[in-house]
Amino acid sequence: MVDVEKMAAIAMQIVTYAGTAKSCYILALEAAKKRDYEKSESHLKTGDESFLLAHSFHLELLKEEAATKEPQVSLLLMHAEDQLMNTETLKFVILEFIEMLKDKENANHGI
Amino acid sequence: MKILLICNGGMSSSMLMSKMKDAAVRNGKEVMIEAVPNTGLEDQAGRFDVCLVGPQIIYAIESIRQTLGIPVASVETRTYAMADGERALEQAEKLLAENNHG
Repeated sequence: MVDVEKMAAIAMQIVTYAGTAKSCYILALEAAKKRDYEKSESHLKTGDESFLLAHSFHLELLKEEAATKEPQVSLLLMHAEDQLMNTETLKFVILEFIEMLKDKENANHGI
Repeated sequence: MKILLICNGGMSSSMLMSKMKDAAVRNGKEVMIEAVPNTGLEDQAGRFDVCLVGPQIIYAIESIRQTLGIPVASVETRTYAMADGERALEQAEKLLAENNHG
């Protein structure tokens, strides 16, 4: 039997850490817009740490499903996976944006 | 005390809300708690004493504070991850107390 309580607890961890990472990435973009690249870099780092944590909780569930051969699905877990995917996409786009901001600044300085 | 909980879709905060309500009943505290998504917050202005947000929208705290005009803070990461109603309730009380004194 799937332990519903335990799964909900792990889903909450995923939502929390993926969500924290998402916030960090957005803060990193905001810092870059103000040309504070050092602060931007530190937000990206904190975001990555949090995102890694979210993935490790996700992996835990995947392993359990593989071991028990029982599907583990709930709306909350779907929501958690949604947060993971959302954060991943956002991270990719934000990293591109930050690069573009840096390029633009370099162009303005004639480098 | 009237507490507003905000997260992206209102889903994970609903989970925390029910835990907070349980904790309030257990401790004989009189609170009103609502969980809403981060849209149309203008309608919530003036209805609550204090606001806690989920980690997904830490970046939006400043704009939420301006919209609502009440103390706003993010729920501590561990508290949110464990959906710890008791600690979230304590955090809301502390946030309100700090603001009344300041």
